[in-house]
Amino acid sequence: MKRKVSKILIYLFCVIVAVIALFPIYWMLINSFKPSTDILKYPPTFIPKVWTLKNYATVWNQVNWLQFFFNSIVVTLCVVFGCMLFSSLAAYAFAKIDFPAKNAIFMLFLSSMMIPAVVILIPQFVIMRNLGMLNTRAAMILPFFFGNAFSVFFMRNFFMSIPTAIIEAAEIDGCSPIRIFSQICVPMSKHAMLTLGLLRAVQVWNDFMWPLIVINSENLRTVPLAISTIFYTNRSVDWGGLMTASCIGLLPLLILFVLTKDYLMESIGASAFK
Amino acid sequence: MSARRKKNIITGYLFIAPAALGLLVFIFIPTILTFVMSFFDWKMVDTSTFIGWENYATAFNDPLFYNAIKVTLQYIIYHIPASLILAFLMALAIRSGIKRFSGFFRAVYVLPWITTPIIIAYIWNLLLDGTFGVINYIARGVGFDLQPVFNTMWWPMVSIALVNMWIFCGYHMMIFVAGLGNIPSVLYEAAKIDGASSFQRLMRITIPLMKPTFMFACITSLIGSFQVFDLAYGMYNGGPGDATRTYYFLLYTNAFKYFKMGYAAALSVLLFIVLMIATFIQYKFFSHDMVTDYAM
Repeated sequence: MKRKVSKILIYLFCVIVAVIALFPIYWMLINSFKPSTDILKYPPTFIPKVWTLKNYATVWNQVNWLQFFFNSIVVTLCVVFGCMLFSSLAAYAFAKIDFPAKNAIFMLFLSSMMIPAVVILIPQFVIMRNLGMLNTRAAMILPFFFGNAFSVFFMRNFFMSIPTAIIEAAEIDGCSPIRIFSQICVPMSKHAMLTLGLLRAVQVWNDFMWPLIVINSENLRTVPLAISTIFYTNRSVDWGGLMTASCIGLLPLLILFVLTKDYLMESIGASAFK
Repeated sequence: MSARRKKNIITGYLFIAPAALGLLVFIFIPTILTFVMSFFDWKMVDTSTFIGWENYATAFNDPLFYNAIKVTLQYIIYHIPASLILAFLMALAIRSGIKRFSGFFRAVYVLPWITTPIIIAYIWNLLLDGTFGVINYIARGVGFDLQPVFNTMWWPMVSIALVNMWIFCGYHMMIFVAGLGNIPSVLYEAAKIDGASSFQRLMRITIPLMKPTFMFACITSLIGSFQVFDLAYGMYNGGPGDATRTYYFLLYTNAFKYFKMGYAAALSVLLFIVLMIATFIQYKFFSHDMVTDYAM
């Protein structure tokens, strides 16, 4: 009996937390379907009295969403591609190739993880300015294109688990290092790469401060930056429009999450223990 | 030197070259530049002048500097303990409390972590509005009007802390779930045979063995807390007054609103020192797991 009661209480706790986790997203969704005046009405309604798509029509035509999505997708894909490529190349070298000062260089890589983003923010901005790249998509891509220490660290751990015998056998057969990397090791590490790539993609897509600093023109804005600068300009916001824009902005992430939640959830544990 | 070794050396350096170059140009050189810039007066347009320690002196005489530290510390106190305790309870419930739907709950709890913080800030602005917000509607329904709470000076930072909890609880839960998975189950079996109650097992086995995981979560949240920006920007834009002008916000304002680049660089250096101490403590605690095991 006591066991049963505690079981019910635990389920109740789980359900309450789940409701809290989902409620803001639900609220955003239903308010995007309410007429703007209904949002400001008190008491608020949990299910719209009047369903309307007017917000979507207005918001979609108000700005060039396809342009913002294009910017976000280009930036995210480029960063993830570069980061995966260069990080795993370096990771492979650290894991499987012997060269002088390897451990010292690897320690140097690791030490860069201790430098917080806030410390390098200003010089990075100055470097971008001096390269004449401010207000370009390249400014959002280049600083993150060559990989980061965490990705190197993550992939190196994975490559270490590939038996050296496989690599040696390929070497004896006259396989070049780049082919061993691209045709043997990369296919074996698909799962690890997907985990890491998705984590990176979410981080880049959600980044707000860096685009805010380096981008000025409206047609170069990423989705989060566009929503913030266009739909939340002052305190007297059009909530219907803002919630609709938020829905449009979060939709790709929600779809991505539903499709790849196992990989994304795995990446959390990996970030702490790998 | 054999031809094979020579080839290995060249390949190795070629493979690490792009990543190393990226780290050098976009992390290590900027770090050095931050230190150099902190000794200059530079407003982006005119030439820079060397002013020695003056930027640091300015910081220590700037009431906004102390305000930013105060606000950031408040934020840390508000959310880290509560967030980690809740996440730990969630992890316990998910791992050992329930069997059915555990995968579903896990996914639901992690979902907020992948959402865009700046958008989340706006959604919570709507939820937490004093007059037509739904949270206050529910609170009034149970006989507790939150309007006076919303008007206090401490509420803005508390609400940012709460929203941050909403985003990160599931993330921390997953870290704790992984930590719980690392505890050998033989310990529990042995304790069960010896007649230990489930509460005793929690206090004597789970919590002591989870200490490193707690420390890890604590330090990473601490480092993250000093860099809170999106929520402060989206929910209150620094106000009311300077109540949500966190350290990162102060730095951002000085650098990109007033273009006091030298002063902002000095603020970065000061933060860097604090974070290095925090990181040092982290690595001291995790010297075995984190550095020696993986680096060598």
